[in-house]
Amino acid sequence: MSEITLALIYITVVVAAVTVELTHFKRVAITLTLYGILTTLLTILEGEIIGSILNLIVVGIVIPLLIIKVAQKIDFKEKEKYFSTATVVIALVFAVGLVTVLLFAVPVVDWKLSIALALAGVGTYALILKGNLIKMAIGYTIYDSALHVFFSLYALQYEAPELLMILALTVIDGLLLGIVVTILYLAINTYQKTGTIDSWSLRRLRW
Amino acid sequence: MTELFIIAIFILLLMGCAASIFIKKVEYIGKVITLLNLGALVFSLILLYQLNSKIAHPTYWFNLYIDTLGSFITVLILILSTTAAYFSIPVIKGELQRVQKYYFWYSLFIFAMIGTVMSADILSTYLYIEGATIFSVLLVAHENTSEAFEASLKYLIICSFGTAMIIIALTYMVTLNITSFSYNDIYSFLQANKNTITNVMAIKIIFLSIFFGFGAKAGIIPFYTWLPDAYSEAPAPISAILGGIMTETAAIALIRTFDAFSPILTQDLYLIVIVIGTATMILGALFALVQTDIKRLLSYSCIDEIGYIILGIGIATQIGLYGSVFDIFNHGLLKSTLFLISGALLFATGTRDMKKMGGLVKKMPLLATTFLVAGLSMGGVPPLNGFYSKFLIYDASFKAGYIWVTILAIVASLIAVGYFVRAAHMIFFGEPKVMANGDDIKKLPKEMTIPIAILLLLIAVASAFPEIFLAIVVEAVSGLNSF
Repeated sequence: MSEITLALIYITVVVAAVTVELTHFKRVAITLTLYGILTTLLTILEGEIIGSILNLIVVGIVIPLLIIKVAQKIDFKEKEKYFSTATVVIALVFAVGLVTVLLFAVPVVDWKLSIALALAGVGTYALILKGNLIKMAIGYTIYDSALHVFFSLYALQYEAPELLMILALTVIDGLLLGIVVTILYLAINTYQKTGTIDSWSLRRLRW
Repeated sequence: MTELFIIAIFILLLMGCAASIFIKKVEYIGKVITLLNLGALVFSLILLYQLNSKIAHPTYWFNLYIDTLGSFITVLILILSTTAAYFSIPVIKGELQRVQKYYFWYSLFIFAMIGTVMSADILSTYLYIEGATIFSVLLVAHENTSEAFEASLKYLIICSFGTAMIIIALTYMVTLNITSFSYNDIYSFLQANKNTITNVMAIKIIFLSIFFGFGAKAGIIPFYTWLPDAYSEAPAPISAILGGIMTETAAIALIRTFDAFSPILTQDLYLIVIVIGTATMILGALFALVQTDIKRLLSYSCIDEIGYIILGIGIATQIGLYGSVFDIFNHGLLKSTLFLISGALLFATGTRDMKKMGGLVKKMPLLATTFLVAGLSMGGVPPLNGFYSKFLIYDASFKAGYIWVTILAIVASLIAVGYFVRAAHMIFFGEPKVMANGDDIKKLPKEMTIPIAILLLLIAVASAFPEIFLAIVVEAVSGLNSF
């Protein structure tokens, strides 16, 4: 692992953590684009081109645009217009701490697994603990892109056939887009029906 | 030759999508979709006959593998999709655009499920099963209530989160130098190299990722929480398809992957499957016992049944697999029938709460008879078809030495009989409750009674002549690599 890769790993996880903490959705879209570029750089540096470009298109361009589009249809109230500095600082500290522990304190985990685990952790955190449905879509995006990075880095190391890699990464990114579009579609419908996109206040069914 | 039939099935289903866009009269869309599904069913029956009687042999077509197991479940899918499409006619009404959307997603949903059971490789299975999730989520949300949206979101997020674990399995397969994700290629590679593969951790990660990946879709512990909400909030025909086939397609994917990895799987890994199968079965049965909402009861009963199917797979003997595949068929038939009955009850009485029903046997003798027959069959009461598949699973687990598991499986069956008898008593017998004079109960249209009667007839045939279906099951299992 080169120093550039190490720096990229830290920056990517920090950007992912900040993305799930920001509450102004235009800013979220910008940080998500940055996140898409960073994950693409990570895989391109290892020599994987086609899947990386696909990741850039889906995570860095299409999903942020969709989020901006959906956010325009939803009338946000009070705190959703701002972001909390405290939570962003906590996210930064948490992200740096998580990556450091995974990279240097767990002997069985190599750097490829570290980046995947850290990103999947951030994505899962947003999916489970963030009530906001748009945040859940972002959480799923980060979780799935972690799997994209994980697969492409190991497939490159073990010299998997190129066709196999392209097919697998196309399926991963295609399904990511399909699922995020469905979550956002449901978010708009939920908002129109109930006037909120907060899944905690939705819960009428027994979880 | 076999490719032509599968092409015809897919074309008819895609024609269903086109028909739902171009037909502008609400009353015709459902009928056309029913006819197209019926046409696809005829082709699937010919395909099954040819494969089962060795007139044709299993073949590859693109990323599909057309064999007896896949075509058997395809027949089941199309029987249930045809009856559910016909049942949808009085249920799915209103604006043209909403009806069009419903049948469009419906046709794609059936397409994706057939793709799942016919897939020749893990990647395609993952693609089709996730496609089926997305289409079914849109169908669950069709009711446009906040509960339906919540259930859809829960279903989508839990299932997608779970099935994404398949990517972890694919990655670790690459680290074992497996360069094709085709089930048959994986089996051949592992059979040839089983003594040289030393990375035990990778094998365990692959196995558990696949198991929990497809298991999330099947509704095993700990991923089952989405299932009762999604199944109970969906329109009745969609609940019938979800409960009857969706979980089963995930079970078929599990059977195919277990078969592919069988050369390197160890007993401790199978034991994990057996424990989770048994726990899922018991938990589903106990939760079902305390439900008063008919659709939630049936949903928990699905979890109970998937436990049996997973148990049969985990035992990993020929008899266990016979039991699992036959239980997939029986459960599909029975659970769809029961969900359609719940839809008919909701239509007639306006409630899903069994406490508000009662004494409906005089008004609805067909529904009462079918509910009792299907419920007792689900509980494994002889001589009904559910008994044969359950008996095979008891037999397999007993012979494999899992005596406690056999006892727990029998107990879960008895609990199932208990909750179905309790439900039948609350709905059909005793004093009429909410409908005191009986006049308020809506008369069921023929679009509701005919599908239920057809399914009752099929249950009767499967109970009277189980050997016909068992012969197909034996042929389907013998087509797997490990048997």
